[in-house]
Amino acid sequence: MAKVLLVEDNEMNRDMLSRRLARRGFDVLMAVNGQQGVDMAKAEMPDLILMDMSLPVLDGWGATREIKAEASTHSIPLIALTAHAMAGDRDKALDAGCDDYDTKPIDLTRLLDKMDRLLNEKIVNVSSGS
Amino acid sequence: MEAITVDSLAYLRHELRTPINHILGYCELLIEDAGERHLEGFVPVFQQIHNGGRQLLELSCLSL
Repeated sequence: MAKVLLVEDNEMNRDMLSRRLARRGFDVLMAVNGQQGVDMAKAEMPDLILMDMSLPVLDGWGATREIKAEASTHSIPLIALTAHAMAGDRDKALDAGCDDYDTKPIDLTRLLDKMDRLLNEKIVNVSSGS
Repeated sequence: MEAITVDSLAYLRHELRTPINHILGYCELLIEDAGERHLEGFVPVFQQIHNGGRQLLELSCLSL
């Protein structure tokens, strides 16, 4: 069962997405701000991270940079989730080190495709690297 | 009316999107629940709520 860390400050978004992912067999961990997201990524070593970008304490861009700068968490695939479907946001997310990017409202089928692809790439990289 | 600036409209549109996304997301959750519990009869009603939510989302995305 893949372990997914969902970093999201909005309680309803967290509840909604965690329930839908849990129903599909994911083990969902949750953090409510960017700093907690960084701490939990290091402590729990999830298989994948879903990161909201507008977060208190430390925003999603900063949290992503920290996770990607840390050797132990560097290779955890990370998908940025943002409410702003603005031009340039995708580039900004990829520049911060995000592996992929998606916009709200969440299209679950589209998000699951991106998650599956990154999780499969991770498995391939781990097995080819060993 | 002059007091309504482009910035305040952009802010309003952004603020509207969060609750609209809640309506859409919970509606999708209910549609899944209905399917799982063999209550497919409810699906068309949830679908109508979802359609209304999508229309609101489109309105909130219009550039005014």
